[in-house]
Amino acid sequence: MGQTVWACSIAIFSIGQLLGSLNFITTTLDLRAKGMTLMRMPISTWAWFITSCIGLLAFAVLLPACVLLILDRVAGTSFFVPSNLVVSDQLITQHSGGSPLLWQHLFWFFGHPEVYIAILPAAGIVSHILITSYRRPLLSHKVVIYCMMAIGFLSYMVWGHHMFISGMNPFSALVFSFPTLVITIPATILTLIWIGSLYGSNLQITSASLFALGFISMFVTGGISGFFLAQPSIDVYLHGTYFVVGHFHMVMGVAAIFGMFAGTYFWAPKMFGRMMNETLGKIHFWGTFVGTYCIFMPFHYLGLVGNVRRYSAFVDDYLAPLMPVHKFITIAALFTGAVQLIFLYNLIYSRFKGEAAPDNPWKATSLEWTVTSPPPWNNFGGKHPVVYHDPYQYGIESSSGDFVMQDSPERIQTVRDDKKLP
Amino acid sequence: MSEAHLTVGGPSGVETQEAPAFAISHKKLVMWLFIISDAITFGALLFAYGYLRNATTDWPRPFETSSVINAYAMTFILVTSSFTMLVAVRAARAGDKGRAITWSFITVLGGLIFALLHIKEWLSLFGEGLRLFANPWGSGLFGAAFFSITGLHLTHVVGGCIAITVVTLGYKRGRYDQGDLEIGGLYWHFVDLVWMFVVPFVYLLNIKH
Repeated sequence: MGQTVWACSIAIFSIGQLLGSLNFITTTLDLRAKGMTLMRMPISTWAWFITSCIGLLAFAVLLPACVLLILDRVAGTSFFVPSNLVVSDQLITQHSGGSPLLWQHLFWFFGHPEVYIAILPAAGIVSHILITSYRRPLLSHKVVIYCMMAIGFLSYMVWGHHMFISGMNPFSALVFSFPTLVITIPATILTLIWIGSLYGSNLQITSASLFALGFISMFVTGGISGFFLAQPSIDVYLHGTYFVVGHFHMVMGVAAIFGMFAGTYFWAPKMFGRMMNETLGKIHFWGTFVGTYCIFMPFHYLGLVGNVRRYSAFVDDYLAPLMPVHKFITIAALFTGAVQLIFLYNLIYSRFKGEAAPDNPWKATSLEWTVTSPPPWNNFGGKHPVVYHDPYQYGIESSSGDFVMQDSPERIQTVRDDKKLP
Repeated sequence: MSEAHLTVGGPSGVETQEAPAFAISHKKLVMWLFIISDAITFGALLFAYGYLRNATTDWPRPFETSSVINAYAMTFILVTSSFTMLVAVRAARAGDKGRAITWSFITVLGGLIFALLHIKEWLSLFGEGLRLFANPWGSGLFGAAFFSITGLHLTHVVGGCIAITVVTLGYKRGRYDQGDLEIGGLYWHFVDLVWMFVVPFVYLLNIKH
């Protein structure tokens, strides 16, 4: 019963995601401010746009898969239930002939793009925040956008790398391994651009920028274990272990959440009209950053020595020496969970008692910072902004300081600092 | 073609909007995107069907000549209704409101006849012993695949009939314009196109021999 309700909720979620994607894509294409060409859109908006495109296609497969699963559970069909299946010591006799592998194919065809649905908005938010805190443009914002597109495109060709040990034809593992390794190229380029742009930057340390930099750290750490898992021969050993759990928590779990935290610290002043407390924010960052590494780095070690995953209790003798590591992880997890209370307190306290936020506290260039904090209803209060620049005009001399707002008609005459760099 | 503008911003709203990227209205863009997504949904179902069919040794092939003739009749009616929709959209574009409404309703009628023929066929197969989970001829997966694919398509046909009725009535009262009718037509042609894949894969591959 519970699982049927779960499957129904996922099916409804797929429909919701479809409608959301339709709305996002169409709005991005058809409802931009005057002068806002596609290449003048902030990278965060681009990331949402690409994410919506991925979601439009990925959830279209999850929906029928869930409907078939519901039919299996309530209508007596056996799409995914094989013959002679034994569940809880009982032979299932009323179902036969289905294929669990079919479910894996349908689910992971959705499931792998979903990983990028989770991480790309965070990557977009982080790019946006990094530009603002570096006070200089990224080495190339176009390459960032193209890399995100490439990741979105490749995400449809790699689902089989979740199924190396599923009983799928072993030869097809190679077919899925290759694009999986190819996908690391745009991901690496993204990382290099984020880190390389630090050179010659005037980095402003804020809670938002710390979480954005923390995102890069998580993305790299989790990404490197991805290289191992993309090899079928190594994955056969590691797939059923904690190594995989550590990998995906780092790269899509914690990294995506770091992106959300960064976005919250960055945009909370705009949303609520109150600044969040920076000291608490920095304590929250360091607690979370150290805590997450304490939780998930040992997972890799556990996986390498063969600690299987998906077990409710580790009662086998060979796992006994690993118990201290599990204890350490539990303590670290409790600590990291407790640190989140600081964030919760900060969010609620600042919402009501925080310092009043100016219109543009981060000296950012994109359109949301041209209106009051919080914004008037209807976003721009009936006025229609006109856009003259891309949102990457930092590190230049202008009347407003070292940046030019997107809606400022000011002509950019000074040579950018980064142009003088080697 | 209909152009929807953001009107909440006051009278100056129209000029300050960038021209739509692909010179089509946002409603039409949404419909195209929906069709892409829906095509993948049908593709996934057909993939599941092909996967199971290949993996099953006792896959039944139960369709008699009468079933195939019925499928051809349904195909003919659905393709004709696509054609009548085309006539309706062209009439609407030419400003002939009465003609457009008539042909739209003829389209809906075609869709309803298709649905009735389909249900009649379902009932006769049901009478022969075909169930969602079992049948007298072979693997029970046949009924599951057959009813889920044709069922999803039938849902689309019935949904399309309702949608076109609503849009046509709105068009009659001036709530919708000919652009909306065209978008309804887009969906209808898509439903027609999907049927072109269902007939060979589900019916013609499973003829008794």
